[in-house]
Amino acid sequence: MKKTIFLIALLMLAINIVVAQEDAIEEVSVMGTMEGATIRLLQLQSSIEHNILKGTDVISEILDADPEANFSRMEEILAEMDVLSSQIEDLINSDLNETKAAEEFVFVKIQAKELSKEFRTMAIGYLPDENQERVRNRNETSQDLTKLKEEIKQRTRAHNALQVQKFLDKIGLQNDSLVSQIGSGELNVGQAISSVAKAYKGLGQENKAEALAKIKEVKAKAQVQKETVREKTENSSDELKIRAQERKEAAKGKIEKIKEKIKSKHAENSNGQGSPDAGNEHGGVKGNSSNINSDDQGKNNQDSGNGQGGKK
Amino acid sequence: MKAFLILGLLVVGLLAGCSDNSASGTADDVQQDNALQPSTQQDTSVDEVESVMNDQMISETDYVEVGEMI
Repeated sequence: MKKTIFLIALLMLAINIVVAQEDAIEEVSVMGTMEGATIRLLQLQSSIEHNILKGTDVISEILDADPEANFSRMEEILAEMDVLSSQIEDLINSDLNETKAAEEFVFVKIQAKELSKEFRTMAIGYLPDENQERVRNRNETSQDLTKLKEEIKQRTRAHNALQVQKFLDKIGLQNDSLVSQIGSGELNVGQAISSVAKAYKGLGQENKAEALAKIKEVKAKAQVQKETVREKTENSSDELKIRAQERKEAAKGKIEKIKEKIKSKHAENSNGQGSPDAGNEHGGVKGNSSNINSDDQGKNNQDSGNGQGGKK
Repeated sequence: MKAFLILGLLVVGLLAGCSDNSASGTADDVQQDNALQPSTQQDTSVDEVESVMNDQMISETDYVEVGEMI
């Protein structure tokens, strides 16, 4: 009986890893350029940082609901997430190529998902329903996280503008106004794609065939990258075990920092502040403006945002 | 054992059904398919462009999901 339960647990773990891997691989299609890869990594860092903030709030709530609770593993999980966030920063500032960055993205994401799941299971066990609801309804953010999200937004607009520029170049068209509108956030992705499709439809049959051949090349390149990442990350349970061990070791140096954050969050909640702005002491988020291939910078880059927000 | 036998029969039945379906179709159907082909090809190429652009671009509302903490 025990053997069967163990086998089922093992099977479920393997299924979880495969699902997380597939999920992450779907997101690497934009990682064909270093700028696209950087944006995905920053998005991952943003989600991890958000979870660290939320986790701090959860432990603060547990302190109120059950002062005797032993939440040391939960603190460790937050410290391990902080390690992952630092790893992302190191990756962005290193000289990785796009495929290696995509591979690392998948590994870090699988780990972040596993840690979040483990934390959530414990949190639900400790907190009564009404406390869970209270924490869920609190909007956790920090100045650093807001800054990171803004950086992602600006980079995303610049990246999209560059992709459209590259496509138009490929089909021999020029539309500076369209590219500029995408770079400023005036046009969202859907609108941009419609405009590109319209431009394509306007081509003559011969030009269309030529353009389509080039488009297929882009598609094939993305597919090759996806398959390479899949090959490198599948059957990765041994690799993940090694990484988990290294992560746990590195997290030991971050526990004190997490404890301080929980203390400060608890004091804040006890004073009835519970404000949505949870303080900006979060160490892991820094601006990541370096290490972008000059090829990827394009004509409409970082300064293109005008704060209008995408019309979605 | 019986359950396996029933399951096996069901699978065989389904496969037979599928192969029968693929073999079905009249000359009219084929003619109709051929008539539709040029416009379908054109649509496909626009779809292809849209699909590739969609894969290359990132929506501002996109985020990477790592799961909830509570």
